Amino acid sequence: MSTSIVGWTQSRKRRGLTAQERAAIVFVAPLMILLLVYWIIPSLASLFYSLTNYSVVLPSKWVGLENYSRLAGDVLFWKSLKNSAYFTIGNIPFTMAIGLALAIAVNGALVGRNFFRIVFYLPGVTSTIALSMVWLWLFDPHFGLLNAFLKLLGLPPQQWLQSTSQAMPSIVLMSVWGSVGGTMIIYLAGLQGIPVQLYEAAEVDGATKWQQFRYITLPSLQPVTLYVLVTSIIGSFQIFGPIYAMTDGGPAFATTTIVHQIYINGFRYFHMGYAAAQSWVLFVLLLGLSIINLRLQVFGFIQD
Amino acid sequence: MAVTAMAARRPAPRRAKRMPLGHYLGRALLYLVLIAGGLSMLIPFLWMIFTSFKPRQEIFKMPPVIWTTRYTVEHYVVAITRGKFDIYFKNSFIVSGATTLLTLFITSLAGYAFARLRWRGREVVFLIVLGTAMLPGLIALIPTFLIVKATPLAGGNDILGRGGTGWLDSYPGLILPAVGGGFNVFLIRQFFSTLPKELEDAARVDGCGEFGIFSRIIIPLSKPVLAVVALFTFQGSWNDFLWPLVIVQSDRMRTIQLGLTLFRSQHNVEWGVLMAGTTLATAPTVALFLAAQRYFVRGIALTGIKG
Amino acid sequence: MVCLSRRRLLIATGALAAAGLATACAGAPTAAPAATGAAEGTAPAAPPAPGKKVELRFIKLSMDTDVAEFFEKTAIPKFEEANPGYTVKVDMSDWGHLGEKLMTSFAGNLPVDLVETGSDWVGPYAARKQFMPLDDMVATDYAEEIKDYYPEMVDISRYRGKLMALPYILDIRTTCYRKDHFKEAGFDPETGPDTWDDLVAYATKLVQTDNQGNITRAGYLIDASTPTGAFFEFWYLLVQNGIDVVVPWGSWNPDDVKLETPEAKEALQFMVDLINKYKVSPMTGMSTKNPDLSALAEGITSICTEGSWIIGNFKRYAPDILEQLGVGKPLMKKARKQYACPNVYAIGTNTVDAKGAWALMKHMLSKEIMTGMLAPASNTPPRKSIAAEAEYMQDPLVQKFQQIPEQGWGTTTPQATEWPTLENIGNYVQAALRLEMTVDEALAKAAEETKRRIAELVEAVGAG
Repeated sequence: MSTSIVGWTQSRKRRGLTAQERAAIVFVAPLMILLLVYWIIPSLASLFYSLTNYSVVLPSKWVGLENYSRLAGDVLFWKSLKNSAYFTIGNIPFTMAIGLALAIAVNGALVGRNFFRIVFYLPGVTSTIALSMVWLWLFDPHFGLLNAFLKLLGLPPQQWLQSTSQAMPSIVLMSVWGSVGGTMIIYLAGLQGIPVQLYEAAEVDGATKWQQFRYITLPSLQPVTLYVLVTSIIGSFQIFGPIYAMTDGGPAFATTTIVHQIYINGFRYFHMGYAAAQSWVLFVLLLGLSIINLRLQVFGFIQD
Repeated sequence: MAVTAMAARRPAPRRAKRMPLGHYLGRALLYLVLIAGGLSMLIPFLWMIFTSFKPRQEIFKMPPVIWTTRYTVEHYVVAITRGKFDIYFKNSFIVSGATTLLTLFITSLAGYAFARLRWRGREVVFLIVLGTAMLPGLIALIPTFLIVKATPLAGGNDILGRGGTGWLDSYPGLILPAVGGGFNVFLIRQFFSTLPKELEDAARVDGCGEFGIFSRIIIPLSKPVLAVVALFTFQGSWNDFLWPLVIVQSDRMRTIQLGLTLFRSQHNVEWGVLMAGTTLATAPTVALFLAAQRYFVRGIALTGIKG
Repeated sequence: MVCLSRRRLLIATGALAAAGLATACAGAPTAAPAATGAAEGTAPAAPPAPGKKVELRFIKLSMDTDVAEFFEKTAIPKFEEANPGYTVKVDMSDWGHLGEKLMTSFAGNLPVDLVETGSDWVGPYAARKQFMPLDDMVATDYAEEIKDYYPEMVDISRYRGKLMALPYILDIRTTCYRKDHFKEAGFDPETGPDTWDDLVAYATKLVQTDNQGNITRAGYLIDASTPTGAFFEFWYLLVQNGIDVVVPWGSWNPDDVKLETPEAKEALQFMVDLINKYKVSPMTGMSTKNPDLSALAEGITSICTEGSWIIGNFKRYAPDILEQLGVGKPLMKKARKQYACPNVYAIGTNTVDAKGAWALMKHMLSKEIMTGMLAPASNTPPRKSIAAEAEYMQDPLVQKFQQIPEQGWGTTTPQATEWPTLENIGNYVQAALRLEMTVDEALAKAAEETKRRIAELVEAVGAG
């Protein structure tokens, strides 16, 4: 590697850019321009805005770290952090456990295997907004299918999204329903990467199914599990669509999440400086996880 | 060592075959659970479709009516005539289609440069590209809004991007910020790297330029990965919500996801019409998935686990 | 061939790069001044090119089907016919999204040539110089016509003496009830409940539940399922108890926020009791099976607070039970008060053509168009001549609504509060109703945040 870099430098000294280098600049330019204009500059600008009381429609001034210190005392921000964490913690264990179980179930020989895979993944290709609308209808306290089902079982009807204590669990329920399929397929890919010989050897040695799962499947799936865990935390902490479409953070702030607060502050109150500060706090919170994520996906590849 | 020790305790094969009952019970239980799970996945979708075709007075029957002989398309008619879902649908198609095509073109060009060309700073630039994939889209949301608004010479703006609305409330404003994606570049670069070097060497000897090699040799060999990128980009764009929510101002630019939330916020929710709109919003990506599920599964595997 | 296409690609990419770079350089630094300029109304309206039509952007609140039909097929085409230099682009919004739509419009410099909003929304937009004062235009060619309006319904849209909007519909609310339910329960069907005590007595007797204790018919319907709904249900009681969110009405002083007064606490406690103690309504409201029908017309509540559109609702969708609709007086505890607030039209300071916008506003306010827009839903008008002459206004039920502001019973939410601020209060009302917070805690938080919002706005636009 290092020798070739020396080789490039030498050739560059002789006759400027090589043909490949010139081509590379042209090939990469469109992407880099888009990234620069719509990602890198805006992100840096948002850091700048977070230090002002920028509100778009009114003159703004530099406020230093005031936005950040105000965050510390903002009850709604803490509430939204708590709600985001609640959603994340409620969502992930179920999604991962059920996703793994489904993956194992549809991995083996099975009549209608493909059918089951498709059906479980169906919500994964549907927009969260469309799913939210469907579930809003299922959750309807008066005419919803869920309460009709409870009635059939002789159970009392529930308020679902209309109750402060049930609203977040209801959204978790919908979210688990919607994301087990995606987790299943990732696990499925992981399962198919485990050498069959391992199981054959274990079978020969008389290991039970549980032992095989415990000592072969789970350890082999460890990187997959870590990946699913990290991406799910990152995704769950940023939940917004269903919140906006179903509850708008209510009732009584029971479902307001960080991104919902950012949206409200930025685009309802137009306190964009403050909203920018909130988004940077979210970024820093997730930074460690994002780095792990990047390492998982990329660094193994760059090394080879 | 441990293996031989276990082998000694190995049960006779015949014993396993003498327990077909437990085996069948296990299988039956498995199917039972899978069918129950599959039903719980399907019922919300079926309920959506049933509701969208049921006449008004039957939608609210308690206990719910599943079967009726009086199915009707009136809710679809209302969704299109009054709800303007035809416009939203068209907008979503234009935006998702253009985003997908541009993304394919731009990311595969870049992927080629990262995978097949030798140039200084390649690794650093590549890491920057990947780094942007890490930023939550939200951070850039507000400044991106302002940048799109300040697009020079668009929407009444002057050359410095002042005075007008730029690309707000327009197709380019909906499309361009969504084009690219560090992760797509990563996927494509990874795939391109696996192609044999001999092909392009032969082409170079024949005097073919880099774009010729890219378009004539690499692209035709890379259909699987391009299909994956296209599918996920289309799906992501079709389902995108936050960015359109922020920049769309008028009815005629609204995408279908925005149209759905609008319906919901009316005073009395017309569930039949809302479910008709939801069915329309769901159908394209589900159809795409059913038609191309092979690529979906491969794509998720690709994105899920490194090579 | 192949090499040629590469060169073409190179050129194209270069062009894209140049455009992109220009965007990048121009983007961030110029965004703020451009927006500020627009907000201050200094951006001059571009003069229309000769021979080219000017497009006016009209942000209109969503309408019922028949009103929408009149609007699309009659009101707008008539304007375009009479003013050949203009076309009208209509953007619909509902109340819930109107604030976001207006703010992104001003931030993005999308022209707000004409917007329908509530007079109680006008203050903050006027303070931020986003709405255009109309005094000069009224003086020029509307001085006679404006005498046809109820003066108090015009003055309500003044900010620091300047007229910022003109009314087009009166949203007057009062207590409505079902006469047949009253008869069954032995109440006089000709008068509704008069005081809070009456309300409790009536509603507890009228409410019906199934064998599991679920309310199947509300005694007095309180829809607190959304923060906005919760706020208004609370606010009705607030003003009936002789207080308001901000007192006096036009004050911009954060210290005038009165949400922590004993009267406010009493009002919220009464609302909490109606739901949790007297159980006259589920806090989530009631859902009608037929989305066309109001809860009253469907008979799932016996009493509720509604506007005159309820009459149109009965006439159009439940004409056979129209005679069962009773319209009473606003309730009273310390004061007999109810919401009486005009929807108004205003012109944004970023309009492309103030002259055209004013012409469109006058057209929408003309007697013919206003009557056509208001009649289908029996909406009460701000113009005396329509109130006196229009056929639908001859209905005694509609007149009962029209008389409410004339009796001095009307009031509206304060000038200094914005929709999101009221919504925020609604969230705390919801918390109190669900017994998540005590009445004192909820109101203390609501007061604190309301004060802060007003203070921020005052600070940003300059004190005074």
